[in-house]
Amino acid sequence: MHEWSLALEIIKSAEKEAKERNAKSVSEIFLEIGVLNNIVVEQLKDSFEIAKRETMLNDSVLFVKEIEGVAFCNNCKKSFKITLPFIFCPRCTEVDVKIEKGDELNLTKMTLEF
Amino acid sequence: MCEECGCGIPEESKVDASRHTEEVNIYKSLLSENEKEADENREHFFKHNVFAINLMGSPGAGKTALIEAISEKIKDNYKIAAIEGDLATERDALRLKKIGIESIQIMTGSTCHLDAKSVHKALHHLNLENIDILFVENVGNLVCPALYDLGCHINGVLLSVTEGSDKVAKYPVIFRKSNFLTITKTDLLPYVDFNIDQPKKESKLLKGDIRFFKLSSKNDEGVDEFISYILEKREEVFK
Ligand SMILES: Nc1nc2c(ncn2[C@@H]2O[C@H](COP(=O)(O)OP(=O)(O)OP(=O)(O)O)[C@@H](O)[C@H]2O)c(=O)[nH]1
Ligand SMILES: [Mg+2]
Ligand SMILES: [Zn+2]
Ligand SMILES: [Zn+2]
Ligand SMILES: [Zn+2]
Repeated sequence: MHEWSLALEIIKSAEKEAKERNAKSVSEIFLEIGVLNNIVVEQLKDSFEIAKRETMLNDSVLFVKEIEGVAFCNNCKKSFKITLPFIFCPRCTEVDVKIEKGDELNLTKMTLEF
Repeated sequence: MCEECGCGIPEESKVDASRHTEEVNIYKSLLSENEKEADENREHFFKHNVFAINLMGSPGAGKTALIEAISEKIKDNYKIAAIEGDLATERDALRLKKIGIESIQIMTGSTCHLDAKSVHKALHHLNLENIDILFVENVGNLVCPALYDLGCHINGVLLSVTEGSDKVAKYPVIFRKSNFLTITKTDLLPYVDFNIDQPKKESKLLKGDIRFFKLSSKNDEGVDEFISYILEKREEVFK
């Protein structure tokens, strides 16, 4: 369900960036998505295929780079890899942690046609 | 290149000198527009001393009922208003108007969440000078509302005991973005198998500093504790 919402945001963001640069269309779009967003990439791609119709992204290809989750334990003062779904330090089980990676929902790059 | 028909040979007519391709680096959040709008909302709240609460939760979790219960208790001392998000109908806003709470309905149509822009528009229909506490009741949904910052001071989820105690780990993102988790309809606990320790424990494993409450809007159990939390947070923000 939130894959569809996100697909619509992708189109909105990409069209805005493309228009600002006076492009005619977008042929490739690259995203960075952190695993903590619980996005199923295959589902996002399916939603994207429908959402892109009759937009500047009509003929575009979507590339998604998934970013793993990393957090910093405020007790051990060390970073650790997050194993979903829960977020706690595997050394000391502390939950007082700071997320360092895995929250990303970024549009990183586009190939524009002029 | 195909020798027979020459299909690999670029045709003159296909080459358009004015056409070209360019790769551009962007590196921006997909939600950057929403974040800008959320900042605007924050400014409005700050300027008018409005404490805003984003209430999320499944359809029927008891969001409107809790706003009603809280309002009945504190409306003589605080000016309360609500923005009500639903796909359709003005029912929730009408429920609150009935008890004298200023409320605006946002009908989202096919959209399963509120975003900062829709809230911003609604804000312009409220007399912010005349509001101390603003409830923003999100569309009933445990998924998409998690993606959209509305600019509220606190965000939280209501989970009713009839939904099952296993929900936190199933919908991790919304709990990770929440300041509080409030179990609702505790008057029904004797009739359902709901292990109240499970959501308490699991929400902490998603967000270490999440606050946990349990209450019933029907028999009033726990409502005062939740109100104290809201008022404390409000003090913190506007001290
Ligand atoms: N027994 C009991 N029922 C409750 C309680 N709170 C709400 N309800 C009932 O649960 C149903 C849904 O409550 P609402 O307040 O409309 O729920 P909501 O979360 O606002 O629902 P939507 O806005 O449609 O997503 C209503 O029939 C309420 O009377 C409670 O504390 N105890
Ligand atoms: Mg409601
Ligand atoms: Zn959704
Ligand atoms: Zn640790
Ligand atoms: Zn405004």
